Amino acid sequence: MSARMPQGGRQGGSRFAQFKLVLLGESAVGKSSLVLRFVKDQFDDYRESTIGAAFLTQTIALDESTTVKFEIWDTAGQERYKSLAPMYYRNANCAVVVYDITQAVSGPKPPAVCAVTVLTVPVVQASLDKAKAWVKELQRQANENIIIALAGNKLDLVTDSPDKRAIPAADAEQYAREAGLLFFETSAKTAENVRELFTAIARKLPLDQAGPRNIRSGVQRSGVDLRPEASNTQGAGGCNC
Amino acid sequence: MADDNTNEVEAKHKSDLSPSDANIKPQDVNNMDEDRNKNTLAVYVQDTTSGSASPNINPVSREGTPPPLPPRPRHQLLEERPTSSGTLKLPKSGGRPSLQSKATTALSQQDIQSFYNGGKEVHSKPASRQLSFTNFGFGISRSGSDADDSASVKSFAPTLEAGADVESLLGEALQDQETPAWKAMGFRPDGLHSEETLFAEDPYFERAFKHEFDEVDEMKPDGSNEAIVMNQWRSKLKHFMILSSAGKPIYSRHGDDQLITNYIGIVQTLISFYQGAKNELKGFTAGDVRFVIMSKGPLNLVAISRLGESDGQLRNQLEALTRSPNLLYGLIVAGGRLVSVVRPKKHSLHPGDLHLIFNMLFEAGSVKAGGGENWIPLCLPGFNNTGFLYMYVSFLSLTQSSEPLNDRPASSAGDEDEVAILLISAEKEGFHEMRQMRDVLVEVATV
Repeated sequence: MSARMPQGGRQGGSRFAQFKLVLLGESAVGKSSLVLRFVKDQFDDYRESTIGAAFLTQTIALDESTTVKFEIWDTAGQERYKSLAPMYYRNANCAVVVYDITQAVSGPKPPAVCAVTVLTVPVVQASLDKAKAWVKELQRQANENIIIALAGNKLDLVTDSPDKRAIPAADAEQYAREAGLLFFETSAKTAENVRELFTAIARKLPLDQAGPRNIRSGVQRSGVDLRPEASNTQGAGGCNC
Repeated sequence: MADDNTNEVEAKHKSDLSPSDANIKPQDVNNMDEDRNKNTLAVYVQDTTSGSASPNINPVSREGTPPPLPPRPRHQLLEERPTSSGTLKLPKSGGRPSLQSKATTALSQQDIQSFYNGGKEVHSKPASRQLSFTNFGFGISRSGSDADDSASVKSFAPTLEAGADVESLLGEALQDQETPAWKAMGFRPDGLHSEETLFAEDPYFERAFKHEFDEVDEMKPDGSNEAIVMNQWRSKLKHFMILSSAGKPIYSRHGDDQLITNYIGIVQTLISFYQGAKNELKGFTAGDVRFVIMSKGPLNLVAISRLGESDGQLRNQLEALTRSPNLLYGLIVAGGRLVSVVRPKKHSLHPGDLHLIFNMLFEAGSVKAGGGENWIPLCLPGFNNTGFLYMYVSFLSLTQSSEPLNDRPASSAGDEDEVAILLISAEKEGFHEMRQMRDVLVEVATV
């Protein structure tokens, strides 16, 4: 996750670009489900909490000549992983901040597996507030030109029974407009707006500024890099040996 | 369990052999078995890639609780190995008409070659010892890299590629024993039907090989045992050395710095002589010893082998020695069992830590179900209870092993065809490096 710039290039009129995307948001709003829908076109009714972060890639064709590859970091939403987030959003070209449109006051309890965690979550926060906090953090600390999309997930619940909606779309949309974010209400379950969300991000990304495509070249793959590392790469965990 | 299987192998073999050989004297069987144990060292690592349990982890799978790992794999590891899964693969490929074709599929090509050359050696007198060593060499290199902590996660790299080597070399011959290639090599098919000659004894090799993995004694401060130590060191069949481009010793397979300094000096002189002449030294032969030299950035790596391996094979083995300093532990897990570990010399993997990792992977479904790769901060209290490590996890599907696992539902633990590569690093930012390592590993394993 060292400084990785968007990779891209032109070959015979076709454009290819690669971007790092990070998903952030409160626990259990459906970040992993959105990614799974986008990458694998699958949905699990029951998912356990993400541990750490998962890394997935997906390539989409914007038009006949333009391909965009997303390197997606699906982060864990639980509070205890909060301190890791910078590691994942650093150098990210785009971010999807997810909230749960059915959830106004209190966050859902994480699955029973994490009983201990429930006790340690200090602030129970509406997931949109949490999303706003993430946006703020990104705008303050992430890439200057990061493209942020706000995604209100679980749209299927509201379609079935409108009284479940806790956050009016208009409110979120207005916030998104003020903060300069893309905005979608999505359903990972029905796939509604999922592809649209990522496509909209891809369209907003600076394709033309992407540098030459040079990753995955044979040189890099052939083994271990023996060049001396930059001195600032030492991790914080005190277990280097 | 191991015994049963060994017996099964025996039975199978007997039935596959021509009727005249069906009643082998018990001690012959034993001899053969012993010999095969040596040969099957080669199978050992391959088994790990294909997902079956290997000897040092058998206790884990049997009792569910990982026992303490041995402090350092030494000679006894070698001794243990043959008692179990080395030959386990054999009986599974039933219904083969003859030993040859059976071996072709059930065992790695290397083994076949060693079987054949074993026969060959006896029947065509002029065959040199070196030829038979060639094949044992595969075994040694594998077990060597397996037994040695400092070996890379890419331990299989050399050997599996070596396998490909052999295949391309003998590909046709293996299918049809009557090809000119075999004849040219003095191979006589009928020789195979004799049990006694199938695994020829080679006392010199036996002795040297037996002690190949013994540690060289420590030199006493007064130097009184110098001669003994030097002798031990010289009798090793294979040496690896890593030295800096300035000639500083960095690593040696056998012996400590003090012991090898002189040799490092010589090696360094040779290398720099040729470097000075702008004509890099790649390798040379002295007697029956092959020297292969590889320069890698600021490092010079040297392989010295009496085992008759090709330069390519030795080069691959050297390649495997250079492990990223960021990799702390490398684990391969198949069917909920630990198959292979790479760890630093100073740190064994604590059983409790292993348990923790397994619990995380197989009891909580999220990692497995995620379908991607994971980068997980975790604390291994047995290793260091005050800091975090980072674990790279990638589940592979065996059916199309070049592709990361796609759509496996969160199923119960211990699914047989679940293979996961775990790479643990203290480097927070090490994800992409670990990922590359995974790619290399997968690439090599699927060649």
